[in-house]
Amino acid sequence: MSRAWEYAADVTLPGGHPAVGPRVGKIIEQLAGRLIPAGGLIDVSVEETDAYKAVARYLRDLDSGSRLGIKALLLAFDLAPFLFIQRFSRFTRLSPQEQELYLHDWSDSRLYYRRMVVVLLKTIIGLGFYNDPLVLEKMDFHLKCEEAGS
Amino acid sequence: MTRTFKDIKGKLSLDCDVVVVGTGAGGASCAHRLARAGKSVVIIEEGSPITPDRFTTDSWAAMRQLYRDGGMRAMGGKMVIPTLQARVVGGTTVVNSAICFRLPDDVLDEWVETEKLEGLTPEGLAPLFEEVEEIANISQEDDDYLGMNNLLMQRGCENIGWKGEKIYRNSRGCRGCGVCMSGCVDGAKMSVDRCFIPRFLELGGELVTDCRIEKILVRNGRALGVTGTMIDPESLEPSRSSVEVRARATVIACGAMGTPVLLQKNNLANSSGLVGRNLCNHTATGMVGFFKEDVYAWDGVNQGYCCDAFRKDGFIIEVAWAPPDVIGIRLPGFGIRHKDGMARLKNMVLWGAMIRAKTQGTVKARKNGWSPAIIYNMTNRDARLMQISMKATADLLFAAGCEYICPGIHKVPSELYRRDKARLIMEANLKAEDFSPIGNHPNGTCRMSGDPKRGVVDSYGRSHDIERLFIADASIFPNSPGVNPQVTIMALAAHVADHIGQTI
Repeated sequence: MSRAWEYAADVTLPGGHPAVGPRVGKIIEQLAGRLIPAGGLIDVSVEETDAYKAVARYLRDLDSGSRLGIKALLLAFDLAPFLFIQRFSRFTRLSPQEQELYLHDWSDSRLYYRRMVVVLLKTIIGLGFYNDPLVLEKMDFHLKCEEAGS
Repeated sequence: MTRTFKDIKGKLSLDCDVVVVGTGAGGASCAHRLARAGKSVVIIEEGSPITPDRFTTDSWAAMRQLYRDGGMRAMGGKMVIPTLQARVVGGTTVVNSAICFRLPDDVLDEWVETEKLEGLTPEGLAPLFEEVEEIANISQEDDDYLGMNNLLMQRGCENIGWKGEKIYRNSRGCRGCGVCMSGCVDGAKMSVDRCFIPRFLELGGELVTDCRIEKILVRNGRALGVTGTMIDPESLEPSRSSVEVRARATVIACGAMGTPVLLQKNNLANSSGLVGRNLCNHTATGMVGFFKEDVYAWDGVNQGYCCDAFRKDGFIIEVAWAPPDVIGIRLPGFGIRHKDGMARLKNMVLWGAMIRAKTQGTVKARKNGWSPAIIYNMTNRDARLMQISMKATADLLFAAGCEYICPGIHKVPSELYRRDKARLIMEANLKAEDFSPIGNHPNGTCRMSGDPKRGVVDSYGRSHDIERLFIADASIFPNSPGVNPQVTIMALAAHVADHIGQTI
């Protein structure tokens, strides 16, 4: 069971299905582990934030065509390591080092649309993380208009 | 009088002198001017009225609340270029950074000469600009609220010897919260819903919100008004309630995306074949810089200073800022290195170069729905201009004392630590796809021209094809003005209004 699926299970589509299913949830979780790994100067992990829920809400709020498109893209991304780094494995089953290699292959690609996939993934995973109060506090980010007495 | 979704059950029929579709910079200014001239005016707006207490500082929630297509609208083609328009009473003036420039005289001269326009002179427009500036309280902010992000650009301009200036802004009581793009939570931004629309209502004008105009009524080649469907503001689904407004003149002011879509769906005013073509914009891209000192770029006016030394060369450099999650997208790379970069958020600035792009795209109505298909393929000329503008931005950042910059350009190192290294930006063999721009201030999709073969409307916003049909928004610009356009839109809309007032 993926943590992304578990954490965001209560974010559902109009039909009652979770916005993030187990397989897509697994991909999101592994991606989050590479894009925003635990540790570093912001010692907050993705699991400590609302990031998975934010991804689920993002997918929920898209129109059905775009939602399907992004899920298809995630599944294709998961299946494609053989095409780009010649590993006979899904992204979700690669070692962390190989996952990083695979992501770099996309982000440094000559092809614009492959680079944009990484931008999209950074956007989806990062939108909840870098908007989370815990992370904002670590970055010393306080909005004047949200201060007490404002 | 204002009527919203909950006020209208069944069919509402209204009669007036002028119906204006859209409450953005153009629609609000035009409607106010006509109401002040004694005309009975009805404005129809697809979005809802949203007061400052309902704005949120959560950027993604704000996208869904205020922006068309939930903030996901983009121009397609060989690249994906985001372009943002608002869907709210006040239009995009509610979510912009309150930047105010008059249309430069040299640009007006160029428009007049190229499109054989009449009645548009710097002297003629000056009183219209002055009135807009008075109503929208346009001024330069106090230094107290500029914040370090802006003051650093000022320092950079002084050190390098380039012309820079504090940006004129339409605000009253701004304290520099830095969240302009999510709607001003203090209500300090004088977006048109807070200046023109209240005055319009005081003059007896009528405003109907949550109504999507779908049909322009035409008989014997003359516009007779519009009909539309009420939209549930929660679900954004059409309801069974409808509105019909009969008017002596019809003004479309749905912006450079919405206006051509409405005309295309109605198969109107397109003998030139130009409705939806000639899509221009200010293509812009940002560059992150890190300073040793604490900047706290979010503390202060979002965009309060610009370097306009290169305006006549086709670009200006403006201070910018965005919420942390958006900054996270701009910062290169991923993993711990990226995360550690984000940890230094308080040391960052984001400055952007905005080019007067010459690329022409298209806006086309889709068979289903009202979101347009937008095609925009940036030309090599514009890519080259963007390259030059990014080099200048890098030079300015280093002149301000920047520790290092993140150019955000493919084929250029992701971090540059010395000013002499900024030359790498110019030395790279760059194409449009190597940049990550956004498309600001779309315009030109219903160009005005004295020649009916070159324009959709004439010098007064009047359709060349349909009597008493007018357009009063950025779609009538012949091309991009090279400066942030809201004041120009307002002044030109007032110019259109004056003509309508004299002719009906």
